[in-house]
Amino acid sequence: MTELATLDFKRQIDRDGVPSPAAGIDMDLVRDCIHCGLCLPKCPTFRILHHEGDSPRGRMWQIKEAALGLVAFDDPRFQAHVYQCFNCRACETACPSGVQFGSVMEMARALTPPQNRRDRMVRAILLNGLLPHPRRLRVTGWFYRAARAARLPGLLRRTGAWKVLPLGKFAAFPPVGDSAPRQPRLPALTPAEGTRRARVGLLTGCIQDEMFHGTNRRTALALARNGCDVVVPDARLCCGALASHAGEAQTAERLAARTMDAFTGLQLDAVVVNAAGCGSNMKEYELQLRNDAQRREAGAAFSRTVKDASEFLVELGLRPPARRITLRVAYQDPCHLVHGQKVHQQPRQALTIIPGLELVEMKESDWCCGSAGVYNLTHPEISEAALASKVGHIIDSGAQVIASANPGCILQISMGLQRAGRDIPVVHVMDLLGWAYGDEGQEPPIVRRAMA
Amino acid sequence: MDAATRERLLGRLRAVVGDRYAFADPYEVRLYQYDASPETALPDVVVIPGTAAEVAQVVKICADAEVPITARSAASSLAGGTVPVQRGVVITFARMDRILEIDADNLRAVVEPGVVNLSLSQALRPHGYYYVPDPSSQGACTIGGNVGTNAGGPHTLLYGVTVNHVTGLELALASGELVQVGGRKAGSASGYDLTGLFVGSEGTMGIATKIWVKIQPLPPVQKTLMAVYPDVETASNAVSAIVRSGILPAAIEMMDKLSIQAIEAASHAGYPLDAGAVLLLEVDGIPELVEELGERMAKVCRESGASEVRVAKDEAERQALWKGRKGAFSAMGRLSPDFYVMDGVVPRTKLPETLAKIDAISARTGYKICNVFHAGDGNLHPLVLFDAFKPGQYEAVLRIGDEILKLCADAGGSVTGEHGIGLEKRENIRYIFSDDDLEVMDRIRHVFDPHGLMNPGKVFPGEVVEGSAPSRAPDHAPRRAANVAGGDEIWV
Amino acid sequence: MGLNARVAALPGHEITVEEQQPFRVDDLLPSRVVRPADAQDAARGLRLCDLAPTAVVIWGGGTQMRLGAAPRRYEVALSTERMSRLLEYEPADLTCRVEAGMRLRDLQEALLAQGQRLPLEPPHPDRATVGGMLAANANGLGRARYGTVRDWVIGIAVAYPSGKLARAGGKVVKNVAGYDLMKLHIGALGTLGVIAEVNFKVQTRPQVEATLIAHLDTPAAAVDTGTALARQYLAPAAAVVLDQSALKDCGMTADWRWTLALKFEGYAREVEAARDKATSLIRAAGGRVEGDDVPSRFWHAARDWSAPDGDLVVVRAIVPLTAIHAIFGVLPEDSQVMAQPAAGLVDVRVPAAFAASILRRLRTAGGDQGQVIVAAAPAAVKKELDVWGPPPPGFPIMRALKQALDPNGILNPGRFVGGI
Repeated sequence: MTELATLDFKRQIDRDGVPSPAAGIDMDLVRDCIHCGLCLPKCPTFRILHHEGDSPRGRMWQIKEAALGLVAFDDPRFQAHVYQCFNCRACETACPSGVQFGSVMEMARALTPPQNRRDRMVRAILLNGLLPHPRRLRVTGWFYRAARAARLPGLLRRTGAWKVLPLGKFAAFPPVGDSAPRQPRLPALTPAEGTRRARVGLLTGCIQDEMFHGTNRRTALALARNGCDVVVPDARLCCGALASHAGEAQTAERLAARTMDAFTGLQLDAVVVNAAGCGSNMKEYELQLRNDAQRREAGAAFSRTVKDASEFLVELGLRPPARRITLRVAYQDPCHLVHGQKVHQQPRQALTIIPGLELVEMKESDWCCGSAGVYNLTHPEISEAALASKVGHIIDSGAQVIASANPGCILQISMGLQRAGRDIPVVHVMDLLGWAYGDEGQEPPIVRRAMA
Repeated sequence: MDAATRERLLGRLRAVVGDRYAFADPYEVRLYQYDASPETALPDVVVIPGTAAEVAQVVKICADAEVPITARSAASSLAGGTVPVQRGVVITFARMDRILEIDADNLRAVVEPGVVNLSLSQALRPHGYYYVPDPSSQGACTIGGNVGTNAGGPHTLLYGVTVNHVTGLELALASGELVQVGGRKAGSASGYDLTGLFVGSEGTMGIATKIWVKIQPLPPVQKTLMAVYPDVETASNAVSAIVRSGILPAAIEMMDKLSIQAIEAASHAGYPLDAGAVLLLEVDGIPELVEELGERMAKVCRESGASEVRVAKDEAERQALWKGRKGAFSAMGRLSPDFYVMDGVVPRTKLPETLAKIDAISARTGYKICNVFHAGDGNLHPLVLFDAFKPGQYEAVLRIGDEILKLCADAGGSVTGEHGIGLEKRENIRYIFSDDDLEVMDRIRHVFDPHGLMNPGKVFPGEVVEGSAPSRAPDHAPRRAANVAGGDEIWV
Repeated sequence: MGLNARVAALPGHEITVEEQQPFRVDDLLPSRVVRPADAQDAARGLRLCDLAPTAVVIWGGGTQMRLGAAPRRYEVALSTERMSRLLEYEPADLTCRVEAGMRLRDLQEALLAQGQRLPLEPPHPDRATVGGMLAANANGLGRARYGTVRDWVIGIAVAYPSGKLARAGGKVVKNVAGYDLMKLHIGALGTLGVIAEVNFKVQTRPQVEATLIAHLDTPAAAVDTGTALARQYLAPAAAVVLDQSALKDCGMTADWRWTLALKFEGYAREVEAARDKATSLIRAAGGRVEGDDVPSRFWHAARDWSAPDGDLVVVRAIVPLTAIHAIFGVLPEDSQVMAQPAAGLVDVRVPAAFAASILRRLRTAGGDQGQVIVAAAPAAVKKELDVWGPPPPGFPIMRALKQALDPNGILNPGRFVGGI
């Protein structure tokens, strides 16, 4: 292999003129990175892998080199580093230059489909085969809940079969959640209680609605108790988050358009989302629709109406719930909430409004748990390393219950804690809030005991 | 290096650190060509050792093969200090990031070189202590790198820079030995102060594999003031007024209008966008004293022309102001695609005239130059904004840099206050040191590194020929002549 | 060139027997004395000595001449007495540049006129020179709070045997250009070059000063109180533990055995708070605060105590703070001691007859993290002692540095560690 020149822009430009970057990469965004290195200590994959190529700065550099044609987009080493990223965007929080790392990463991923067999399979089956199709999703959800009802997880654990089956660890150690095979739909309108303060749309989502339907119900309850009319559009919607974060640009674009359409014309003050990954994605529809000149503008306008559930409720001013929940709770920041949406304090404020609830901080609460969309399926070893340190910090924090705000994190951490033999349930912030507002059912025993 | 040599070297290195942590894949080593400066150069092999013993073995292998070695941890150097300009092996400390000991009884901490500066202070906080030097890049830069460059930071005005806080080092020398110099006690009573000599030598004497640092009790209260000035000149005169008043604050930082715009765009720290210049001042101590000093300082600021003096009302506001200041360089990304930062120092009293001259350079050349810097110790950081995609701009900016550093030198200052000479300022060092001065330094370097393998091409002036080791520039090789008295050789 | 010609080419002039006496070093006398007029002159003189080559002992105020081993050879005395000018001083910059032969007291007086000072107080500032302070790394009682010489020197010009005058550092308080040769020469006892000019950073004089004298029952309690003060905010400017005899040497009589003397400096509020805090710590340790009324010469005498004139032997231990107890543990019951617990430093005046055995015991107690040296001793006693102790790790580099800068070994031959 012949050796390539160093990336010495400055002198090269005098020699060869300004390079023309590859289409599909916004070079202005790439050049925001001045490779100062401030992101490195905040990058979970750099900490695990110790390689510059697996740091945010290294990844930006590779994307820059690829965009300028110094390395090939389909170089397997390029792909390995690009897809080894959690895309947790902790680097964005650390970055003083304002590099939009997540956006650049999605552009790069869109230009280089992964070669890894496992990755390709996850894409074909999950991202493109299942999530965009409401009917398939419903059937799968039914099977999932039926299996739980039939106590399949226990069987997997006892026999050790989970260790060899695909997705076995998730099936064997499921989170608190729905197990009745049949799920009632949320009503098209849940009317506000007390003085009416707002009219909001609620995204019930794909995986969220199949696995955490109860969380959606409690979100609607919390909104209604705080004086919101809650509108749920007819279609079961996938907002396209998993697809876009994984670089499946076409699928993401299609789903974005459909989601926007569903919420259009409903005279809403806000579109409320309780899954951090979805919220983050929906706040960036301008990016997803960048190739669609007509819709791009509408995407930006739509994004401005999107709010995370706790962000919206805290801004509105929460009405104190009547029921006490005497519990020590630690909050785990989902990456797409704290880094993607810069929502950090609101979920904590929403939790502390619950009478009796004591909020404790765990170390590195804003570090990725390794779930990272479909990452825990495509790169299990690295994901497990991140999960192990997360589980350690949770145990050290002394919390009885963990609250988070994203289905992926809840699945992952729940699995990690159960496997470590810890009975520390992981629930959504909206679950605790919903229970405090009087919702019944599905609360884990430790929460039930804590409710006065 | 030819392929066969490289493979042989790689094999020997892998035997020490394992296959995963030594590589020569041309794609992978490309990621070690840069640091935070505009300079780049490709290494042949990258090694990520896990222990001091491994580092020593790696150095020995390289020395035996006469291969240049460049140490790197965060690679946040703004002077090209970690760019492997003569190729060879890059050793990175990504795995050596453990705090080995917090020994509060002896007011020491013992760390590996890859420990991030800020994480040391964070680990010390529960014990009631902190590590004083706080470079603006402290969220990323490592103690090992700080030792290499003798790093400073805003709070070194009162408490001193890295060398004042390091009491011992374990060094991997070019000979392949691991030697401890200094240690837990304060100061050296017998023998030369090799610890002090090594700090700031930019990796040209060896590699620090373990570092003993002083830790200091946290001040009970820190108060941060922001004084708003109509222009840079008034603000820089105010710096002298503050120093003359008999108060030496823990930090005095200055930001000019352009920098404030960039900082505000990046962090919304609360700096006034309409100010011509802002001074950020901090006093620390017991509450009653801090209160008194704060008021006295505010008075001096107002008397010296500040239109407004604002006091950070709580820790969050204080942190926001500092976060804005410390992120200032990187925030320049908001104003301009590229920038070139200098690190000149002038005597405090020469600040106003130096800044005026820099302004004149900006006006003459048409390049915007912003200033955000440690005003208290006269350490300027002019940032020249440019666009590397516009032909000719980079070369022009380098010339502006030279001109600014010449100004600083002529004012009785220095060409680098904390970033180091590195690769970028090798020629500028001549502004302040004569050939005789450099020759003595070169002899000392030769003692540690007789074959010119340790971070070659740095600190000393002279042309660098890529891939040529040893590096000694011909015009700075020690000149020998026969002793007129016979026998021994002496230096002439 | 023949031998005679070379001797004739030596700088300075041959001296009479009377003129020799002031330049005696450990029973050796020079045949010539050279008094350079300035830094360049010093470099030229050194070059001539090197060509001979002939052994040079460098003289400042002579207050530290009993430190170190006896010179192997001694022909020329190089005195910096004519190099005594304050070259530059800009109060608003808090920096100055001085010639090495300037007496410390003269420098402090010039600074004081502007309300400033150099917070270094080596013994005998009326005689000690700036260059000598650097070469001997002579520090006063403020080392725990203000650091040592290395923390205040920002630039240096050194004359080398090659005849070159070379600078390092500069005139500004923050500077990382080139190697930090200030550190190399500080404490090198003039074995690598003749320090000719020094740039300092200085500080504003503290607003107020206060002293506190306390009586404690045991050295352990005194030491613990001293180190505890250093580990918290508001550390005193000086904290000294003295035994009864040392206290007497400092002009105070007492009927108790162990004293902790504290000096506070700073802003008024700070000093007040620090004194209150110290008082409560002393009481908690079972001590008694005896008051703040001390003879005016107390601190001066304490400062000079470790560099006595005459034939006393002083042994100095520098150890980590936690190892001070071990040092006190091996001292004979009636030892004359002055310690700076916060700096991990213990000075002991020992009877010549027991010097060797005490030194041995202290070295064992100091462990491998400590250093124990003879800080002062008459020539006859020195012959029986290993004044520097075993060469430290890194000694091969030190020897190579000496070889690189003074290849003919003309500078203070044999006086430094390991025979350097």
